[in-house]
Parts: sequence; C-alpha cells; structure tokens
Amino acid sequence: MKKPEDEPMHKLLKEALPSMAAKPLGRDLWPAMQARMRAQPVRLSRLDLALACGTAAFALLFPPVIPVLLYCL
Amino acid sequence: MQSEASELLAAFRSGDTSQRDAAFETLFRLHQGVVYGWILRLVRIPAVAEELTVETFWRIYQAHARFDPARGFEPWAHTTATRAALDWMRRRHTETALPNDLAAPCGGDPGIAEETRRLIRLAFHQLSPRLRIAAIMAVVEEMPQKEVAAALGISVAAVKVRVFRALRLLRRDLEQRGIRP
Repeated sequence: MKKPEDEPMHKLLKEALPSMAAKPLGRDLWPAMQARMRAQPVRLSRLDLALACGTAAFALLFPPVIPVLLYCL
Repeated sequence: MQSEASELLAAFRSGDTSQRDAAFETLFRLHQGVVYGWILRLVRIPAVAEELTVETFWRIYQAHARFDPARGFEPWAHTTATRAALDWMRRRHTETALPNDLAAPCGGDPGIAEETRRLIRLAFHQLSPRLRIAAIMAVVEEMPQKEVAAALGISVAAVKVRVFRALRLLRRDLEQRGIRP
C-alpha cells in the first residue's frame, strides 16, 4: 500500500508528530456535558423559523386561507 | 447483552424525552473515553479533545432522530467526532499560523534534530485541514484507510489522493526549508 519513495516522509512525519493513541481520558466529562445541555436548549432551526414566518405572512396577505391552515393543523 | 444495547439505542433514537436523556447519559458514559481518544489522535491537544468530545456528543444528542441503529453507535460517533475536529481545525487554520501548542514529541529519534521536527510540524500545519486530517489519520496514527474513509465520509481512493497530496506538498515545503526527506 505504502510506496517506497514515501517511506522517508512517513518516517519524518511520525518522528515530528508521534501517535497520540493510548492516552486515556483523565476525568469524567458528564458534568461538562450537562452544563452544555443546560446552556443550549434545543432551538428552532432557521428553516423552521422561515416556514413559520412565511405561513404567517401568507395568512396576513390572504386571510381566507386561515381556516384552511387551522384545519391542516 | 446484545438486546440491552439494541434497547438502549432504540430508546435514544425514538424514546420520549426522559427515556432519551437516560439512554444518552448511558451512551455518553460508555463511549466518552473512546470518542475522546479518537479526537485526541486528530487534534493532539488534550484540553481541546475534551472540549470537542462534549461538542461531538452535543451534536449526537441533537441529531438523535437521524441515528441509524443498524450502523451502530461507534461508527456514527467517529464520523461526528471527525467532523467536529475538522471544523475546529478550519477555525484554527484561519486564526493562527504557528502551531505553538502542537504536541511536542516525546523521546523521538535523536538522529532528527528538534529544529527539524519543529520545521516539519510548522510545514504540516500549513497544509489545508482536510489534507492534514487525512495524513494524521492514515500516516501518523496508521489507521486503516477504510476506517479513515468512513470517518471522513469519502471513498478509499479519495483518502489515498488526499494523503498523496499532503505528502507531496509537505515534501515541497520541506525542500524549500532546506530539509530533504
């Protein structure tokens, strides 16, 4: 798989950047995860907001569609 | 055992909020070490790897409805973690030019001077993040190319091309700096 001419580059790179494998996690990250979940509740996406705004604008421009929209909901 | 894992993944994907949160905590505790280890191999800075582990699980939590239990949790986590690491590299690539905090080699070949290693790290940091991450995974960490391809969401052939380009650019840069590999 590895070309012989690439061997020196592989060696140099591995010497300069030794593998970081087998370095275990030193602490439990669950508290940090909980803090992240509390800090950022699930938000509406931009698409959801755009659709809601579009529907509201459509209903304002064409009031007769309001009963149809309500029926669809 | 197998059915417990399936139930856990099913609860995470489609359970109500309390079931999902409980399943998520269990999945987090089961996989945080593996995900951290994966990210650390890519970004090489423990504090950043911790931060990106939380970011990865946050993305996983938000995307629970798109989770495919047939694919398994770990491959999905690896892909998400790799994207988070790549996003971090892209942000960082625009912010800084000099990798002062790249992991220093510990006990490397004394035949290669520290100054040479520093220049190699510097040249490596100049590569684009998508080439760099492919080279880190395939060359530095010696991950199987199939695994690299799955994590990056590209074909094995594309991995080979990225690694080839990364090494070629790196060789050219090093030659300009007076280092002939």
